[in-house]
Amino acid sequence: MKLDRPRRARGVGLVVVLLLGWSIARAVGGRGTIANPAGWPMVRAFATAALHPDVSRSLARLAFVSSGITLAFATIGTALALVIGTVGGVLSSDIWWGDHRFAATICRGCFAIPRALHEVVWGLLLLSCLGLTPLTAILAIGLHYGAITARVTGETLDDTPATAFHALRHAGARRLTALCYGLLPAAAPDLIAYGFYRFECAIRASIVLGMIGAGGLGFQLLLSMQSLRYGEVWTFVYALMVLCGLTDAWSSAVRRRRFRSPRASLVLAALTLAWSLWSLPLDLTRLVSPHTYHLLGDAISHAFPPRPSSHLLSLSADTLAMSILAIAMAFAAALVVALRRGLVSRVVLLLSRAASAPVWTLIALFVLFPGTLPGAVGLAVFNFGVLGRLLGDAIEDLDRAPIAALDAMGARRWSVALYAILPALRPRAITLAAYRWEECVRGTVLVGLVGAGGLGTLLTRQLGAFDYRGVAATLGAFIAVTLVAEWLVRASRDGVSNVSS
Amino acid sequence: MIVALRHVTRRFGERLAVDDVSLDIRASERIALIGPSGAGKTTLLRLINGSLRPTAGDVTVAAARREIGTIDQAFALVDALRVIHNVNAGHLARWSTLRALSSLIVPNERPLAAAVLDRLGIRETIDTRTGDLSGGQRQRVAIARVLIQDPPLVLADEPVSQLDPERAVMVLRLLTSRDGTLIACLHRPDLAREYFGRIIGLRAGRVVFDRPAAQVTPALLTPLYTVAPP
Repeated sequence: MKLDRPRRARGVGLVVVLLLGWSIARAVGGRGTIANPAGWPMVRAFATAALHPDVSRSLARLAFVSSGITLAFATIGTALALVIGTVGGVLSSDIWWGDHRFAATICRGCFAIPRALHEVVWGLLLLSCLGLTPLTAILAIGLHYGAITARVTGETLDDTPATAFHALRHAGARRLTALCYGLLPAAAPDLIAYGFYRFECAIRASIVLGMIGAGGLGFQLLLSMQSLRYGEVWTFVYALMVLCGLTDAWSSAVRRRRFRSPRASLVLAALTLAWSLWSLPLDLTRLVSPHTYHLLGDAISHAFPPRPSSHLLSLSADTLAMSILAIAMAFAAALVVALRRGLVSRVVLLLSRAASAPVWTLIALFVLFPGTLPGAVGLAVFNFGVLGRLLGDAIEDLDRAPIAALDAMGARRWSVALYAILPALRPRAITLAAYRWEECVRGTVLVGLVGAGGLGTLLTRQLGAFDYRGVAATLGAFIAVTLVAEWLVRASRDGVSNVSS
Repeated sequence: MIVALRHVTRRFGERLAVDDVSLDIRASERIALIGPSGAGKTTLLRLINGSLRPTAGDVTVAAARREIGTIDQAFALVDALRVIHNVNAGHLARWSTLRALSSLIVPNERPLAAAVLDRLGIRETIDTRTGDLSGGQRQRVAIARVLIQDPPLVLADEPVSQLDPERAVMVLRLLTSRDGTLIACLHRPDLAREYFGRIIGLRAGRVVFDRPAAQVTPALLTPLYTVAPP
């Protein structure tokens, strides 16, 4: 058994290297020109505009109002996701069902599809039934995030030591009581941290909502981007950074117990939610109106039987390659930045994740011809921002003693990283990278929609041509790719976790 | 004088861990700090290696921080690395980053590491993951790392706490036979008398006695370990 462990880890490593090589070959091989040097002046113009954001009175006002809309969308969307995620998470945990584990498996299966499709896809699908209303935006965020939260919540509950839960059950407590008193208190810190993380995601999803036409910062940003007004773009990017930064500050204050009581946070959250519900006109009657279901039935009848495009297989492969390249670039850069944490790197990371993948892809498309590569670059910059932050937090949580010991010996900074930080960080880093890779796979649709390539671009074309049978087949391919990615991650984790345990 | 303490006091909140201690330690001395738990031994070592600052008084050490090797009570090893790499970490102050990196792939100085581990009786663990070792084995890996580092001043916090009597003697012989200064906390007065030149008895953060080992009698030790204050 002992001999087996490193061999299995090496096997996983080999698979990773092979996949990476295949992705590079797929992205750059067999194509004459990749780069388009003529686009550099545009990139330069965009970059220099960072120093000259448009701060005219009317635009500042617009940015302020749009920030409010984005905040309201994010708050209600997250609230919905947390409700779905908590109920769904309990129902898909093994511990809830006890001896009837198959029930948990069925529940997990039910959440697989809403999880596999990116919120932008849900937005586009709901758009055709519900029309362009705030409800569409909130449901798109709430459904997808709710399904992801359900999975995370279920796994967290199953990973939490359950002795207290079982003791209460033996003493005759009901399941729900035992859960609330025996399990939730221990799982709460992780779940709260995750809730905050989802809230930050929901704010960044503003770009996604902008793409389906819902208002807010993302919508304004994309409008300015299309009219090449980079000064305005940066104003909105900075506004997004402020919103994300504030959420970040709030969540780390809670995490490090800087508030004397959690009540202050709860009141703040409740007030934000109340204000959001007041400020957004939500027309819930649409959910029950016959017109909606007529449209839904119409769309479904047009979608079956699915008709796969002839390029579906090769585009699926492109999508997979794009996600692998993206996570490889993002991980390498994020690791380096996380190891040298400072104010500048924090701001760079915040910028990278606040501006979101579609914006970075649009920039990449200035200098790279459409295809796998610009999509990978866009996803990589965004995920660099997210991973850099997560890895930085993970490094802060490591045992300081071995690191301090090598520091005291006078070891060089990078030697300390190699001998004390990286080995201890490895299991967590692998988990984070694998998890972000799954997000990259889902995110390929997003960068595809702005024209990078892969399945997302095909989807845009099919949606534009009202080819619902094609759309159904493409979505099927997306779900398949996502499930393959999730399966790969689980299989490799089994191989690797034996080493780190 | 390699270490000089002048009226050093260290508080942790209300608690007085080290209370007005003055000491002079010459190069090449072998000093055992003995006393009950909570006497301030560990705090004193941490004041000397610079990981703690005194609340009052002066600590002067005639060695740079990198010239001090510390054997931590909790070992401060990287569990995820193989033993060879934890031992080789003792070289890191002298190695370039590139060499440090290449040694992670093909371990450098393997014969030296093997020889040191052999003298500590754990040669066979050289390729084991450090986290898989027993407490006593891990303790000896931490000692091996300091021996490889080979600093002029070694501070050892309970270096034989997890070893059986026979191995404890072996390790203490090894530590006390090198050149350079050694300051070690010990729980066992018999070992202190046998392997150290000077013994300092501590209780409640104060120096109770400070004598050449030969002059330390059971009568001196009794008040140190009596539960009620004398």
